[in-house]
Order: sequence, then C-alpha cells, then structure tokens
Amino acid sequence: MVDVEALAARARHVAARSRLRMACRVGLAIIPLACAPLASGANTGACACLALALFAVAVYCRWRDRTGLDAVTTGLLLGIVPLAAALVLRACGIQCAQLWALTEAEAVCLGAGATAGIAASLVVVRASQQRRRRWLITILVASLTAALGCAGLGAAGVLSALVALVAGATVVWIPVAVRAA
Amino acid sequence: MDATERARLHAAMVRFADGDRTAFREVFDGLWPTCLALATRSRMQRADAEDAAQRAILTVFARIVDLDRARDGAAWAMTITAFEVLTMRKQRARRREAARDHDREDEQALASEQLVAHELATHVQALIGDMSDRDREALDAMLSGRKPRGETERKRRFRAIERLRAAWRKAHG
Repeated sequence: MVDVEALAARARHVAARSRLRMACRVGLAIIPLACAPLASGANTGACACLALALFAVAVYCRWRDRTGLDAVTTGLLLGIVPLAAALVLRACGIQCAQLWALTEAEAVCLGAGATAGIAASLVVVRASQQRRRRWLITILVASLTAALGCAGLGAAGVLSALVALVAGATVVWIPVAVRAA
Repeated sequence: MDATERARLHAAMVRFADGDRTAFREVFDGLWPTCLALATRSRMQRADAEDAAQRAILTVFARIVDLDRARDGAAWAMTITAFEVLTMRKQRARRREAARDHDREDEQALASEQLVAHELATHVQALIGDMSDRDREALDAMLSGRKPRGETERKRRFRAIERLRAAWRKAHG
C-alpha cells in the first residue's frame, strides 16, 4: 500500500530540487559573461564580486517564479549591450578618464546603457501582469551585467552605464506607470 | 476525469510551474489517482502498478518546471505514466529472463556435479572391487551406515579405509 503523504512529501522535495537546478542553470550564461571582461584585462576581484552578485540575484529570481525567470532572461540579454560596448572599447585600447570627465568612452557607455534601459522598459511594458516587479528585476539584472562589462573601463565607465540605463528605463517607464494608475 | 477537471488540473499545474507553491496539493491530488488508475489498468500486478505510478508522479514533479503551457498537463502526466509502465514491464521481463537463465545455469551445474559424483563413485567402486573380500565387506558395512560391532570390526574397517586410500593414491595420484 502506498503511503500517499510520504509520496507527496517526496514529490514536493523533488519539485523544489528540480526548480533550484533549473535556476542554477543561469550560471552557464553568467560564466562566459564574467570571463569576457577578465580576458580583456579587467580587475579580477571586481569582476568576481559582480559576477557572484549577478548569479545570486539571477538564481533567486529564477527560482522564485516565472516572472523572475523571464525578467532575468530579458535583463541578461539587454545587459549584454553595454557589456559588448565596453568590451569593444577595451579591445580598441580606450579607457575611461577621471570620474566626472566626459570622454568618448563615457559617451559610449552612456549611449549603450540608455539603449539597454529604454529597451528593457519597452519589453516589460508588453507584459500582461506583474509589470513593476518584472521591470525592477530586469533593470537590476541588466545593470549588474552592464557593470560587469564596464568593470574593465574603470569606475567612470560603470557609473555612466548604470546611470544611463536606469535613467533611460525610468523615462520610458513613468508614462506607462502613470497611465496604469 | 472530465474536461472541466482536466482544465482545472492543467491550470493548477501551470500555476505550480510558474512558482505558486500553494498549488502543489491541488496538482498532487489531481494527478496521483489518475496516474495510479492508468498504471493499474495496464494489467500489471498491483505492487508493480503502484511502483510505476510512484515513479511517474516523481518524474512529473521533477520536470514540471519545463511544462509546456500550450499542451494539456494531465495528458503529459499520463504519457509519462504510460512510459513508466512500459519501462517497468521491460524491467520485469528482463528480470524473469535473467532468473530463467540463472535456473538453467543451476541445472547445468547440478548435472555436472552429479556426473562428477557418479564418476567418483564408479572409481571408488572399482577400487573396492579390486580389494579382498574382508575389506570389501568392511567397507560395504561402513558405507551402509551400520555401526561396528566391537573393537575388532572397527579396526578392520580402519585398515580397509587405509588400504582404499593407498589404492586411490596409487591409481589417481
């Protein structure tokens, strides 16, 4: 005779483990994203910290629910835009100047960050439910990915990309939020 | 399970796959009787059917995060159950074949043991046949399990055994 309660407990455990395994699979995408700036000569400690933070946030959000899973995917894809731009700058031997000086490197970071932020908001606006949560997770993941890429350019590069990303996303998001309210 | 129950179960499975942990009980309570009934209907023994249904339900929960929302969740679970039933049947058939092979091996081993024992007995009988009448009588009495009547018979038996051993060593090394 089957002990149905014990079987239910086992099934619950199996489902939880499978969900965690699925959430951790994001590491396969984050590892190459972390290795690319390292290969271009970025600071190892900074890259490792940002990659770990990105991994932790991504695993938690993917583990929690489908909204998180979709938002992490969108965030990673859009965060690749400033990351790729930063890698191209590094490959051309361009680095950011001092913190508040606007050189071509900062301009590229600003542009790439703003593009990613605006695109993130435009993608999330199309979602039917839990838009705010989805938007926050997407922006957080995209910001961490962008910061990971710009780590090789210096603090000015990271800051430019992050400010532009968040500002761009917010500018597009505010009218949507106002209309929804 | 009618169409309404099926749709409700599918909705609960989608909710659970999307991260709503509270939907677990509804999914489990909906799936377990379905899987068990399907496995039981497959003309297996009750215990095997329960095993297959248990495996199926654990597989469903292990893969539920990859549930295709566009397809019927109950049908997907039943497909997994049918697959588990088939796997269980194959395993049982394989085990039966292995047991049959094992029995066959046992029979062969027994036959060869009997042959060896028979050959040994023939050799011993041949050696006994070459011995003197007194020794043969003593050995026959001993092999038939009769107890020796007195010290003289015991010594006679002992000497007969010694001579048999010597003859065996001489004949077979």
